[in-house]
Amino acid sequence: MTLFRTPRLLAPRLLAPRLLACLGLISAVTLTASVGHAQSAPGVSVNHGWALATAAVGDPTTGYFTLTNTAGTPDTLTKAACPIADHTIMRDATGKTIDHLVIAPGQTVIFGPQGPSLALSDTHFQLFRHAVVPCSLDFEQSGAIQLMLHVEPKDATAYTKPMGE
Amino acid sequence: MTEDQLYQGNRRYSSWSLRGWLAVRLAGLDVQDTVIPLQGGDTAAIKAVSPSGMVPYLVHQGAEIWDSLAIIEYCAEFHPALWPADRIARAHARAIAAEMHSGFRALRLAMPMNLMRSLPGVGQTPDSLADIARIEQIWHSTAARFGAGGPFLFGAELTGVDIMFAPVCARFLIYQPPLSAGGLAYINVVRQHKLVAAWYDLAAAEPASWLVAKYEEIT
Repeated sequence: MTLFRTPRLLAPRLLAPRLLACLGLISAVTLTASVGHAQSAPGVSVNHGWALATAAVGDPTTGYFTLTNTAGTPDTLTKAACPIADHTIMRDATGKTIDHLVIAPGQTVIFGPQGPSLALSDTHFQLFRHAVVPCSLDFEQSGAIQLMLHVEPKDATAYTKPMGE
Repeated sequence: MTEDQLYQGNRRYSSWSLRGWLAVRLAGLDVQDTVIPLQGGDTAAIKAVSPSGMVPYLVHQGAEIWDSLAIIEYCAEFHPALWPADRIARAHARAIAAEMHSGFRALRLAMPMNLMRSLPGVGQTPDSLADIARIEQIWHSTAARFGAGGPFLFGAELTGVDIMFAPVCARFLIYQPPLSAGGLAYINVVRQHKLVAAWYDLAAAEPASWLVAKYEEIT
């Protein structure tokens, strides 16, 4: 779903003065389905991307998402990169750095607080709640897939489903 | 006829011209609009009039200004509200206006402005999306600290900072990258401003002969 189909489509509900009052005070409603979603490539889909808010420039954060391999063959995640940070590292559930992750046919892998994760360090700016952080994931079979991390509060433990997703 | 002129490129494509025009109109300067159709590269007619060979170029009461941020500064001499009154807020405004002026190259390259097109999903590269994330962070932090209820970045009125970001808002409406709810609300309120709306109307009225193939062929 895309909210804006043409430049002239200005959703009236977005124009209410109170809603427009302050960017920092607008509700948590996320109006694009693509937030927290990533593009699908044949075989692997990436969904429910989220990350933790930060307090300042340079602060580290952690990124999570869900991988599903719908192909009949295994695929391997070989690299993750989020250009808003100097370094993006893949970690397993113990926190150990990994350089690849095999996803079996039909398997779903949840990157989450209890599982593998992405560690972003030396971030280029503060990540505010509701921000959208772009990343890319490289797979041996599926190629590069775009991942969007929807920023949750820094003490969040789970992904908050945006409206419309 | 006044000899004072604001030379501009096509309203449809020229993001820098949009900035200059908004500042001049907001300041109420009595200048004539002169649009020089772009040719998609070197445009001889622009080189013939502008010291930098680029637009916008403002000629006003003996002053000649050929840079959009400099035009905003010049217009602020007539309309000080283009910058926030408070020193700290004004410093912040100038800092982010300058960042917009000199940065975000990846976004500019990936998502050129064409006001009459809708290209959702086009131009999303890791670098352009990183630029967008930074722009959203600027908007969020500025509104939170200085917005005072909005709807613009420094409060109730359009300022030079909003003018600097106006073409970015246009790009976001055209290419529809993933944005926060706050970002979506902001680009809509900028689009609704009467001067921005007027610019869109002028763009829509441009003749077909002014279309530039390389800008129209983006898919």
